[in-house]
Amino acid sequence: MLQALDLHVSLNRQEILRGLDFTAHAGALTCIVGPNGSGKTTLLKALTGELPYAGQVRLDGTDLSRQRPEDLAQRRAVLPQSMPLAFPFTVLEIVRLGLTGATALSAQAADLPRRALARVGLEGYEGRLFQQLSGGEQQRAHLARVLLQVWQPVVDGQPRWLFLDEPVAALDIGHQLQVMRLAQDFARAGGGVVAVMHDLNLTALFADAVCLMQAGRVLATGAPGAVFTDQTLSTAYGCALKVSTPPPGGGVYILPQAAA
Amino acid sequence: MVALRFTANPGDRAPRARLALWALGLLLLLTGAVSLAVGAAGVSLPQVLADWLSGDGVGLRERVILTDIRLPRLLTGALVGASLAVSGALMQGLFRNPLADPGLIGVSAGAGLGAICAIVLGGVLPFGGPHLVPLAAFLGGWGVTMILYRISTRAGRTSVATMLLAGIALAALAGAGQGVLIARADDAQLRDLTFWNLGSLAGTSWAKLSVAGPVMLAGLIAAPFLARALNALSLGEAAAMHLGIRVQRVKSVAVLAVAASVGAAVAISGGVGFVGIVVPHLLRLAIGPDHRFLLPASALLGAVLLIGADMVARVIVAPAELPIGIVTALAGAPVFLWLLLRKRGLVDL
Repeated sequence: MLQALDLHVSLNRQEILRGLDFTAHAGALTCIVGPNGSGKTTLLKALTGELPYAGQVRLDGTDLSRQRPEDLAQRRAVLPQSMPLAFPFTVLEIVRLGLTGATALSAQAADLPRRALARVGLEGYEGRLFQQLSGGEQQRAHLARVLLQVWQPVVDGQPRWLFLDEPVAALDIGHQLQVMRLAQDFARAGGGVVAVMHDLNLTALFADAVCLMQAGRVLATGAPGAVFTDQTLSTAYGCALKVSTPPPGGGVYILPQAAA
Repeated sequence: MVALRFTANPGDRAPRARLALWALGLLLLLTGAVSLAVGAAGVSLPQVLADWLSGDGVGLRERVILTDIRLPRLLTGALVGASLAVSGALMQGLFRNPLADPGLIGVSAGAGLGAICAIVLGGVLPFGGPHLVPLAAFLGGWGVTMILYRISTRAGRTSVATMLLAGIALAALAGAGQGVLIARADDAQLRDLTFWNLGSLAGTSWAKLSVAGPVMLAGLIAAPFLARALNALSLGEAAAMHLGIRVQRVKSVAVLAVAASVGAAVAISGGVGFVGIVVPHLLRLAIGPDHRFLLPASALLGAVLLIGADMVARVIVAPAELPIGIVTALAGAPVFLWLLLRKRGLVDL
């Protein structure tokens, strides 16, 4: 279980997170949603130890601030929003950076990068120069690297965690679904997934739990069906939104309204 | 690209890089041997070897020229070249910028200021001796690096952008300091200054090498331990941290290694430019940017280039000598310009 208590984060003397509590469970896909500037990415950065914070973050019982980086890298992998690459590495060389710890020493290590690339639909891209890929392809190659870092969702009974910051932002609709299914599969296999999302409909379709943020606080949290109501969403995003239920299979979808 | 299809495993340039390391190692041995044989005084290397093997004993003149003049000079050249090239590769990896160089962040300028201080003010100091100039250069480089580090580190985190900008400012400041001292120098000191500024291996001796050599060696030995971290850092500091890299420690070690080895290199050889920027660049084109191979390959090629440049400097106007910095600048500056133009897509080569 990932648990944050009374989390405060300030950047340049401005308080971005104002004392929020957050919980995510292993075996579930938890999505963080909310309008621009509500603190979604800041929350993710605090949860992954990238930003200094006041308060407490506990990952499966241990205090995040007491973890050594090399141990933490064995327990969770993080896909940031954008990463300009400095040098002309090949796709294989980039994905292979995700081979850390025990995975790097295993007998199948040589074959794993190829398999990780296949999972994100980039078979045969090993020899391409990373900088020559399109934005969406780069994002999927990074996802392959991140998947490789936590290849087994559960190790010795301990879940591993995936943190994804807008994993589908640069992707076409087909690859959006592919990446969301990957995240869902990782959670179904016992791992924990926390993803910052913009697309409410994809979130409604795939998330097990939703955390809706507004102005550095948690506005609502729970199952998508409970959080996504006309009232809550319209308040959070400051525009008229209508939540509907599609005929087959239940679930909800959100329809933006042209008139305010 | 042909380069990327070199192996059965596409995208894996490691076998190609290993081959390049062997080739560079052989090239270094070859260049070293030639460098021992070439010089103003004629010494026939095969003759010396034959004398030595037959037990006749090597002539005193030959022995002095080889072991007291050419050998320390060869080793100094190799160490200086390797240090400058590896320092360049380290800085470029740390700043995630292929144009970064110890010259850029003021380490070389600080070392230069130290040396000029020693040359101009050395006469009035109650102490001194042959080690004063190298020692002052080393302290200058070290001092600039420490100031830079203090300026750009807040709460245990070093801002690379601040460091780059502060480095440029400190380099300018050190340059101004050099100017003030040069204005005060007399004619003899000016000749020393010019010679030192242009860079030369002419004054090398076992005594000087015994001071600067271990420092350069320490920097060279530390570098490979940073290779995996620098690879991860090319994705940015946050991504490297998520991959389990202790980013702050890597920055500290890299900066210290560069300060030590560049300070020592400038101390013993003066201002030798362009090695640190050209060598890693050429190698990245040949074997890719993987620092596990780039750092040792930079050491080997840097050594080869500096030994080669020193040979040219010794032979081209013999029995006089050209400062080695002129040779490296003549060869390095056009390569650097070509790399810049190529980057901007102005030339297609």
